[in-house]
Amino acid sequence: MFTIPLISCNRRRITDVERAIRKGLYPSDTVQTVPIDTFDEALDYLNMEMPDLACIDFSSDGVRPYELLDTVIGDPWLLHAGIIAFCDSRVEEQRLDEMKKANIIDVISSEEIEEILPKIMGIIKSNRQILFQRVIGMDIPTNISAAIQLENDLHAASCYANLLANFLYTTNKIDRDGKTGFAVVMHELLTNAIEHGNCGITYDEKTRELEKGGDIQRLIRERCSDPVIAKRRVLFEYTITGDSSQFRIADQGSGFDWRAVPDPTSKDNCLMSHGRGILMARAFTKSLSFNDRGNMVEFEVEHTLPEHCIMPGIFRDIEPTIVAAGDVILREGDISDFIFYIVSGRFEILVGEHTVSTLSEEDIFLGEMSFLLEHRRTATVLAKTAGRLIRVSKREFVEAIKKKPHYALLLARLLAQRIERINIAHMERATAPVQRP
Amino acid sequence: MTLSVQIAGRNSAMILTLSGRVTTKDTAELRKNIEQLINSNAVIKAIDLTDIEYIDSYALGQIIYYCNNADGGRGAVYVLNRTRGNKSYIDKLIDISDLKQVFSIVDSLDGIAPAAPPTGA
Repeated sequence: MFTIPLISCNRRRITDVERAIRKGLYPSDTVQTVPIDTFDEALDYLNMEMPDLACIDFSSDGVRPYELLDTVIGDPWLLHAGIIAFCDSRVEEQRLDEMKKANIIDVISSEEIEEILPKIMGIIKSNRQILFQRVIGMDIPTNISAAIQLENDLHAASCYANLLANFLYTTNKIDRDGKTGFAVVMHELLTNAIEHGNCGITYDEKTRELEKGGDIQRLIRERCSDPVIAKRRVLFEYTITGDSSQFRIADQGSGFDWRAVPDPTSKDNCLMSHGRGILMARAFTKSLSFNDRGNMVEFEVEHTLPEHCIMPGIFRDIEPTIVAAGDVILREGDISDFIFYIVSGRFEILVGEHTVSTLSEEDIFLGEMSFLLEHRRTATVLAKTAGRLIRVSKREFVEAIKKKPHYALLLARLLAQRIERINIAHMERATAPVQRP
Repeated sequence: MTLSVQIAGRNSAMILTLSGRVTTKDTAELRKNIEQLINSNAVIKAIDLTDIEYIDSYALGQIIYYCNNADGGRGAVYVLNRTRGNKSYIDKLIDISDLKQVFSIVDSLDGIAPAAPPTGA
């Protein structure tokens, strides 16, 4: 079940948004929308349900949307929701643009809801595993891969760039500057695939359009009036691993000669009205390469642990402990009066001499069972790599929960998910065919 | 994107301040404001890029082209980057695009003599 809160006092807006959301999904998609029309109810929903996606109407003063946004910005680790923002005026759109810290996937004006929102929902549906990463962290495989086809629409391309940039940032794979650089790269390369690739707009045609004060989006729309061009798609694939993310963008055009793109930093070309996209993309990525035909580009983004990680707001004041590979973090039989929040690193769980599990930052906590049950430690934990841990005493944890009770709910959810996972594993073992010798 | 044009400072400087995400969809508004800046009688003209979250190549191209091709534009506009040297996104962009060839990049308009306009490219 995919639940999306629609926060607005405007009934008509809610109806329009609900209709557009359904238009972007298949009837079999199990999506539940939850209309919310007061600030208190909205705040309560964000804190208690911790949704991965929220639709907020920034023209609806009654729900105090900017206060809600401040709450999300205030603790992005807990409330890492991607936000689809709606607004009626350019002033609101500009104000939202300035909210650099918010995970805004897209800002949609009231006139665009019917056209744009179904496309965004299609993108979100195809990439659910990245939106839901925080809650199902333990259940996702180490590598996340997806493939999607995009229409020739610059707005959808921009939404896609923001969605992925937000994900890499909120999961501490890139820092704030890295997020900006990545969003620029995605924006540039998806735009190239649409305008030069699928729509066949040449370098000179673009120059003429710009120099007469024209509009590239108009040129794209004009080209897409040809059904052959309109049918072309941008094919986008990605794989996110522990150390880096790899991306591939391919178009269905006849390719372009990327070798012939003039160097925009040379003296002769430095006043060019465009042509800096590839230069910018190369500067913010690793090993960017085109295929010979020029209709496919691949690149890699290295993950670097940000100096200032996104971490739970309640632990922000506790200095992380740095551990080295091979360090013993917890010892079987020790008294347990603290828990570790995993900022980074991989940790091996040993019972006796047997490795029973390996945990990383996606598992969020280390040692929570003994901590809650007041048992002695039932396993030894060894650092497999260098990492950072935040040691939280029982007193600190209780004090934190007094201030932000919804963290207790999150911990309960994590434990419930682990139990569910163990149950599923038992069921699978119980129903597996018996192998005879 | 947010745009604001202000007359500021003792040298009657006119500053076009950009902030947020400046992309393809903003170019018509951007162009209009650059023309207003260039056609003004201000002694010092500048575009402040300090608060930009990001700018795409299309919008950057528009700034370069219009500031340097409009009548009276070439070499007459400073680019203001108050985060100069902080290795910010805008710092990096200025480096990789070699904007120093096209604009005089400054971190403040203080001390710029009205009688000595930048030479630019």
